[in-house]
Amino acid sequence: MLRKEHKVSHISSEAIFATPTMKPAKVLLSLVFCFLLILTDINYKSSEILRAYGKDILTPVIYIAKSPVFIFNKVIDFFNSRQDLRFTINALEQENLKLKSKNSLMNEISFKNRRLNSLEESIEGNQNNYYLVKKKFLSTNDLKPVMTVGVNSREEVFTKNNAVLSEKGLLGRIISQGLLNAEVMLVQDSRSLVPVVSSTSRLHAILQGSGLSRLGHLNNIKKSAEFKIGEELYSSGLGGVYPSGYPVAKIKTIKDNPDSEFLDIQVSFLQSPIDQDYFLVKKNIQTNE
Amino acid sequence: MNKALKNRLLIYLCLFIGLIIDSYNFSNIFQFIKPSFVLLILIYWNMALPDKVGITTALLFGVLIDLLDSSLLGLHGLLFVLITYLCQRFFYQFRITPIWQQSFLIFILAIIVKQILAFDFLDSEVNRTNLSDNYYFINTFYYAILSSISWAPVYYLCRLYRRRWVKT
Repeated sequence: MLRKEHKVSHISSEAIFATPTMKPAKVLLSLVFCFLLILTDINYKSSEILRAYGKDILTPVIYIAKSPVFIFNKVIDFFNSRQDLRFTINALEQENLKLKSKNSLMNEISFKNRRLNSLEESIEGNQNNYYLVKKKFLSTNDLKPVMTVGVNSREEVFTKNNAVLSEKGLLGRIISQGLLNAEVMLVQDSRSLVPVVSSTSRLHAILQGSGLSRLGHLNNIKKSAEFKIGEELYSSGLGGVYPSGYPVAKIKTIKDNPDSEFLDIQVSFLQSPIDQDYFLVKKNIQTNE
Repeated sequence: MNKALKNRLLIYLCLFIGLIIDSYNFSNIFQFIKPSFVLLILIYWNMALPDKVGITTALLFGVLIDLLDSSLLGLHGLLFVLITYLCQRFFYQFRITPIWQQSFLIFILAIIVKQILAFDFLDSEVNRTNLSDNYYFINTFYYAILSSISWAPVYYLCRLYRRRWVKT
């Protein structure tokens, strides 16, 4: 019998009631350790180095999570195809059904192709500077959305801070890269700051996100600035992190609050990673070469 | 194999299954309101066999969730350690309450957890310490509702698993 166990544990079938609770000193030590981890992450960005490699380790878990759906779809496909075969032998009407199902599949493929084509059309200049990546996971915190994309280490040579594009424009930048995964900080993230220029008034500003499915805002805009509602905002390329000329957002509201020295300009983002699977990473020539 | 080690491995396996469920990516808004099964399973084991689950388990799975969910490293670890401590401190009271009362406690706990995750630790907004807004609070509410609804199936499934496999 262990020293910490009570005699009651051998008398009662519910041994649990004899168990002592954990020591507060051990809890305090763990909390201090967690605080140290958090402080290291805040001050030295330790997780940017560790996280993508950690995700490499967790990759099998993500694949296992996907496997039941994959197997379920395969089983459904198997039974469907068997059923279709029986139908085709029996009657021509069933043949028609099968063709219809094939047709819907073709529609799905052509839809995907169209999306990929539009993604490719958004490419400017040298196509070798772009890499296609697939979404793997989107963080559950919509205030600080971070997307994980798959990396093919043999072909893809992009690095930290490379811009990520969707078919509608700029989506974010890579903040951490491992062997199999890379993390993308989205423009909707409240930590994200994107230098932008407006389409008609040609005014420069800094765009900050507020979370997914939320309006972003332009920081510190003087009241004399003449932004217009509905104006599109493009990345200006200032700072050298994001490439210039990609659409990012559209001005939704402009408020002039009397108690503030700046305009309150809210913008809606043009792209969302929720319903999309494929994205392009633009290799930043300045940082990679 | 040593019985204690076998039990520990079985509990880790159960938590690992929770991690697999949590790592499934939904392509819609459900991604932001889905319940954390690792947390629910951890609460169950803390309540059922507190001597077999400890701080190390909570810390390990907290850091794994941090890595998976791209949150601040150590934040989920901190929350899981605190929840583990509270569960172990009050498990006598918690385990004898009816399941609907347990679900209500899970509801409250889920709201607190989700709101802590909205803290602005990186100071990205100058005038705010919490990034939560109306939309986030609605999501928090749905998350808490789903967590409390999920508690009963998680509880009974884990109990079945414990009675079948984990011999104390």
